[in-house]
Amino acid sequence: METDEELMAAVARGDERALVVLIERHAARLHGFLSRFARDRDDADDLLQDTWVRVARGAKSFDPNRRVRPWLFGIASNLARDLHRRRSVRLRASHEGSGEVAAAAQRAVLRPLERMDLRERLARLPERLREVLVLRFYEGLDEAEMAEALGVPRGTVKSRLHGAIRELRRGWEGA
Amino acid sequence: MICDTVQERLDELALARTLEAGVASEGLHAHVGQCGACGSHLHFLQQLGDALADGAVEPVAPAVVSAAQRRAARVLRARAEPRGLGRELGAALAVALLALPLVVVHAYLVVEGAAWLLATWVPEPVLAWLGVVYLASLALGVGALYGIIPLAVASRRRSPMETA
Repeated sequence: METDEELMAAVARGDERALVVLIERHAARLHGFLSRFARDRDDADDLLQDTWVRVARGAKSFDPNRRVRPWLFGIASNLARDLHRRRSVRLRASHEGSGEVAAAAQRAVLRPLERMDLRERLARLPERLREVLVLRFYEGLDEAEMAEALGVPRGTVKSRLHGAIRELRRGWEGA
Repeated sequence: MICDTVQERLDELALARTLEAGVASEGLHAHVGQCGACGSHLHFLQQLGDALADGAVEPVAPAVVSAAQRRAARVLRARAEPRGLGRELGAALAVALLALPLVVVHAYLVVEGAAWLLATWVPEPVLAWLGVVYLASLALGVGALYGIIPLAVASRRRSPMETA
């Protein structure tokens, strides 16, 4: 069986069959990550397709010394973050001037942690913490792979992972 | 044993989904059994593991995978054939040039016919001026049409990448 890196080299030469094999091999895991990270199935569907379009566009410039899996998750993660950022800007703009909506949003954010279950708390974790937790727990990426995917030092990944657990534990004793 | 170190190791084991096995194999049982803080952390991590393991997501639909394959393959194909531009442009211009003699003959017949029809009533300088204006307008129109051809070819080649 060809490795991901061999397939990617073939994709860089314009081999469509290699691209199809890569997509079949990684689509389920990438979609799982995107569903959990983006928290919306339709968004995950779109982001999955955009990820592979970006892979096809960037195939020629792919560094053969890199590993494919972290690169794929890095692309998916960047796209999901971009989408989230665009949504946040739009939401903020539409809420401006609407005092009632803003107050309701603030009440929701300030809901005591004790009343939330762990899954709800995971969904409310800051993006950078949720991202590493999902990549590690569900997708099984190790610290080195996550560092490569997210473009941050390994120590940062480690501290984010422990930070995510600390954040989830905060208030757990009182729950 | 320092509790921070133990708890960090417990975090790592939980995230790797090997909490129970790791606690047993790495001899952490004794410390966790005696230390309230670490015991409580282990209990929390067990609950967290259960909660996260419950969070299964729906598998990706085959139609979504097919759509991703189609879109990505289209982009790959479009990027793999950049050298076809000159040939494609040449073919489009050749087809357009075939129509040029027809345009010239048509213009000649229109000018000659109009001159023959209007010669009795319209003075010759006015007829000549009308003929020049007509031919200049026609030349501008044909020139603009030919000028659009390279743009249309480039746009047609770019569209698979943009719509993908």
